[in-house]
Amino acid sequence: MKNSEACRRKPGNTTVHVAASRSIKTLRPKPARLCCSLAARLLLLSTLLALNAVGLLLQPTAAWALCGDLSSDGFVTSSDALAALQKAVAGNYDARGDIDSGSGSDSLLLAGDALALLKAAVAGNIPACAAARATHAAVLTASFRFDASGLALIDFDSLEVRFRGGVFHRDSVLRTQGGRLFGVNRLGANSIQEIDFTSPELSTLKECSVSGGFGSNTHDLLLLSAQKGYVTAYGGSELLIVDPRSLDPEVDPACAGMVTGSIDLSALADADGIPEMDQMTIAEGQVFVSLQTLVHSDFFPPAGAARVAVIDPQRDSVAGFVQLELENPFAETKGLIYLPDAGLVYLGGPGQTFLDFDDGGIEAVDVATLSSKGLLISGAELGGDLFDFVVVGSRRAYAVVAEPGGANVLLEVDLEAGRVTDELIRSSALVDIPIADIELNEDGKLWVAFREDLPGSRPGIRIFSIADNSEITDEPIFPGDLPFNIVFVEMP
Amino acid sequence: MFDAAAQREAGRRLRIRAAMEPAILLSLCCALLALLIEPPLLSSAAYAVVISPPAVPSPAAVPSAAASGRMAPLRRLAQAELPTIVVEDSGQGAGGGRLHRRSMESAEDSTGFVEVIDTREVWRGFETVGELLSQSVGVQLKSMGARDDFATLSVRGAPSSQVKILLDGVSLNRAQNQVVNISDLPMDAVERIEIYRGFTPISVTSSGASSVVNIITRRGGDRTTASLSYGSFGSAKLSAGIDLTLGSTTSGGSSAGSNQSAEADTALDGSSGDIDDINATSHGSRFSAFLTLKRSDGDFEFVDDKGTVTNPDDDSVEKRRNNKAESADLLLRYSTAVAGGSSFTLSQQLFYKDEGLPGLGSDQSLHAALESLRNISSLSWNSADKTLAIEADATFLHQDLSDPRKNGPDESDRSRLGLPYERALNDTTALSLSARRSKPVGAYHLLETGFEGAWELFEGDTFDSLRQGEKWQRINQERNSLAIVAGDEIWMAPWNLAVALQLRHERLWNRFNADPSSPFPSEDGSNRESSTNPRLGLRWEAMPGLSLKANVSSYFRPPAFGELFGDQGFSVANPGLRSESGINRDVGLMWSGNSSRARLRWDIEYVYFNNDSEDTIVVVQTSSRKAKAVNVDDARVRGHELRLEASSQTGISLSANYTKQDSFNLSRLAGQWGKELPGLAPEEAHTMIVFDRGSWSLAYETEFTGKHFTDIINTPGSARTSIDSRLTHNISLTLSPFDSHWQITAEVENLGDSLVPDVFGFPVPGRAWYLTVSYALAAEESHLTTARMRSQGSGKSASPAVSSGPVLAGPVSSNAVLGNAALGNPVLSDPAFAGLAIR
Repeated sequence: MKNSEACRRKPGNTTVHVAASRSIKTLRPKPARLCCSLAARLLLLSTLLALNAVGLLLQPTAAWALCGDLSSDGFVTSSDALAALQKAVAGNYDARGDIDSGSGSDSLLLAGDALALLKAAVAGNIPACAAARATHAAVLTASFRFDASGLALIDFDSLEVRFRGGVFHRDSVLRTQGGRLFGVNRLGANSIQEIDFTSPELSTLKECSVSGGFGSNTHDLLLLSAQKGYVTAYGGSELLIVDPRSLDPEVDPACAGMVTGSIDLSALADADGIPEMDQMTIAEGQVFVSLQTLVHSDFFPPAGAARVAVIDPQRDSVAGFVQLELENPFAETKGLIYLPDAGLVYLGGPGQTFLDFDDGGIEAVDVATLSSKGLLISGAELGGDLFDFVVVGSRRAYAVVAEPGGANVLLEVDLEAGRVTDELIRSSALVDIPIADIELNEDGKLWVAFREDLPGSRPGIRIFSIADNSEITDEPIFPGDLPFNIVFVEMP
Repeated sequence: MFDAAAQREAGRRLRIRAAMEPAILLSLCCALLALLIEPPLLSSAAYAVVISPPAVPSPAAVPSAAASGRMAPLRRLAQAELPTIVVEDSGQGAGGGRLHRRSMESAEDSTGFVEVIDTREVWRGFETVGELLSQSVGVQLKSMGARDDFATLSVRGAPSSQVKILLDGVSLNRAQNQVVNISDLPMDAVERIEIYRGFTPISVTSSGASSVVNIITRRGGDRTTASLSYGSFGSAKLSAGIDLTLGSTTSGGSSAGSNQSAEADTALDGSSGDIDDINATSHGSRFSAFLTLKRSDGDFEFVDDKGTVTNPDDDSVEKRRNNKAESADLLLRYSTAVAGGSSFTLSQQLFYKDEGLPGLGSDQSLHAALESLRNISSLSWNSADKTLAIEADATFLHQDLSDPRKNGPDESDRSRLGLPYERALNDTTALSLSARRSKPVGAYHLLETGFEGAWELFEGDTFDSLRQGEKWQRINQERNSLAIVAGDEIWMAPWNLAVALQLRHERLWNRFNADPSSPFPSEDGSNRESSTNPRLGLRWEAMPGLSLKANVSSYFRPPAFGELFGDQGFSVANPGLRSESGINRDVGLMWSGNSSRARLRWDIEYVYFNNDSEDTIVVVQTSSRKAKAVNVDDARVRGHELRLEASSQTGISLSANYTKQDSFNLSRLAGQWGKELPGLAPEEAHTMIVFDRGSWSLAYETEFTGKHFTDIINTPGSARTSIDSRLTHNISLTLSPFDSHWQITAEVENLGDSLVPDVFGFPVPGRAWYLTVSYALAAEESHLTTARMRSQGSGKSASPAVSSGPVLAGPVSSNAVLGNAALGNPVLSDPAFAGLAIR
């Protein structure tokens, strides 16, 4: 195996980032880049070998962040340039300040970077980071009637599309961790499917069942190491412990060793015994699992305020839980969002779907105190039911909201003030999931899966610059079918 | 969207007008012409050109026929004026002369393309209605696994909701969900099935959108029958029936009392040629009862892919679980004649079924179950001359769908179907009153009118045990409908041309009452809809035995309640939803021929059809957990149908058909234009060959369904989005070991053990065997399976069915008879063709 591939695939080189939840799908932190140099690789390998001996890699590196936003507030300002200069002088490296001057990353944060950052801040631009490594968007497509699900790969630079239909089960979402791309096949399939996105055919490397029965409804995958991961079962009460090595095509063809155990979360469930476990992230060595606590047999209305289970991954046991103010944290953010600088895990959702447009919103959990910071913005302030969001920084987010009148809107949100600051898209009619997903890359490009497929509409991927919230794409990029889910990957 | 849709709607209406108006004008001209030239045609000479030499009707017979006729001229000629076909025993001991059981003619319509299946001519003892229908040309059975599992019908590529299924003329399509589960129809009680492809016959007042299938239950014949079947997967079936004649009859000369009723009743149930309903001149009564009990464990083995389609290494062979089905069907019918010759018929059809719902193959649901109860009561009155019929029907449907939660220690015990409720109770009550009148005008016109008023109420409740069984949602949806149809069938003898005109107008009023206590209260709403749809049919008797037919008609399919007013939680209301609409066109020919030298007779039919549908209703997701029905798609399905029915006096008969259909998605939605419609096989073929030697018979059957896509964008090369072609072989051997009363049938289904999943991807059973022992005692000693076709020796009266006209005479189409008789074709009187004779 080539070194570069080893960096991407082999556990020792990737698990540091695997555990980084949100960071995995976007920004590759600097250490990962170092693996391409011999010294760095040796250093990293020795560290990883030691950690592998333990079997777990629990400390995430820096999470996703906007390039140039050293303060993690969601904006690129002159103070960020100053902070970059201070770090440069002190010899501290911060990938967010390592501005791309056209020659790639030099793994150094220099005064020149701070100057470039200052220029960008003054001009109101989002600079491009040299450390930014995502090169392509992987787009899961779902047909109008959700009877087929395909995969498209879109080049960041050329915007060329490579598409293969029928790749996934009809109800699927994407996850990318450690440079690997997974399809999480949900209700009716309950499997994890790894994709070789480097192959022209976007072929499947292997697919393994993680079923706990018909209703188990696999919802999320979190890899903790090369040997261990967690899988949520939305319709069950057991958090599954999986061995990702079974996904190796050369090993365990029948995936008999894929599911190695489970953690009972029924104690955190509502009266029906099913906690509706949804998405996960790892922060400060603990795994956070959102529990929607819906009434399973009542068309899923919230049974009350939701919870976040805190799992000790070393003991595979429940370490506690955080009671939320929010009901039904449904927003499919492709894993819970964790901002290390803020020390917060973000969750969001509509609350009572379409019955109460004022409830729901975005809430943050303090990782250090294992307590809720409360709603940062409510459904009333958003103007409807929240179905997806991305956090740019501690002060800024983008949200997809369904309004009472039926339209879907894409909004810029001030998380500190708890108000909407801008509207980027408004769908013409509520007859489909017009805005199925949004995803933000480190260069400040907001990718939108726009599904409105009606006469007069142009469905596809629309890209916005969050520097001024302007649309970059002249017309939507059609990925082969209607886009449903977006993640970013690095092509080796 | 809606502005564009309005424009499309306007365009659609213009196109329909453009397509229909010339046809209507042409047919009106033809009708006028026919009226002008009618008087000369009333001469017996002119009439004789059509009918005889062998059976020249007397001039007196013409008005008689006209007066009797509910049939249009051509149909009336076929039924009343034409020589009746009598099938005689060849006397060879073998089953030579047994006719095939699928006819291309119906007494209900002379221009449309029809298939009439005589289900009493069964070659298999454990066949279902769905399996039998799937062997018909243009018909596709869409099943979800085993024979007792949910299955629907598609005809000429139309959605199942566009196929109207009638049971003895009573519609089974309900407003809540217009799809009919065809596996809930008991085969043993069925006598005949009529399939009207691409149109609604005038005998059915309320239209079917695309096609109509009329299933007619057993009409007696003074028989006592019983059968017992057992087979694979714990399958067992017991059926028993009795027909009694009570009191005397004054016509027909037979205590059976049914022999003369062939022309009698084409009553509102749409069942043409019923043989046992009371003849207009009889004064007796008739009682029939038929009971079927059936069960199956459904625990067949299948390949479980574990939901990992791309990884065959983890596949394993598993048994289907929670797939048990038990059902009971009771049919009661009482007919009596009253003074003046009119008759009443009271019928009661009760069906109960309890079945498990295992869901998909991987991760089967272990506890979900469905309990169904259906009761249809019907009272009909026919005037003595059969020109007026009135019928009242009451239908009650009850469904109890349970998906219990199991909180046992075993996680797998929690397996559920995934429904968002634990239990749902759905009740539908429907009442309808209909009347039908036929009025001959001269000898060559038959004006027919029909009226139907109906009321339907759907009530749905869902439960959750966590709420102590409290009803937390009740929905109440109501539909009133009115349908009027008028038609004229004209026979223009100089050109051997029949013209059928129909105009149907239907109005619907829908009302929805929401439950304010529901956690998902939908808005109260109402909706009204009306549609007028014409039809033109032509039939040209080009030469003896050769007929050309052409039809064009428009249709509409009103939205179901669930589409209009939303479902219990997921689907939001869209009262502005428009009906699906479209135009069906077909043209084809029928050729009936025979060879006295080869002692062979055949019917061949070829049809080209082209159906356009617009505003197809599709349920789309509006958010992660909400869906809404919208008008979006247009589609075109065009294709070719080829049928062959042949039989010889040597006891060999062949039935074969092939359907090739190309579907085009005309949707403007992304990636769909020009694609095939999902779930629609582009090719289907069926063949059946029977060797009948009297005391034994051997039947071999093959069925082929082509590879097709399951997704709307036709993703190539993915096992997730296509179903491979499927070829199955069935074989059955029937013995009469003791006498003609007893019969033993052994059959093997899916001989090749094909495990290709069905159209929805549900696992299907592999090879299966069944054994059936049956006993039949008819008043005239007719055998259960041969009573229809092998009547008593020469000199004896024909069996009731045979004397009943073209429908029951099976392959001897009225058209063929008409042509042969008209030209004095020697075949029919050829002694070598010993099985046929002119009465």
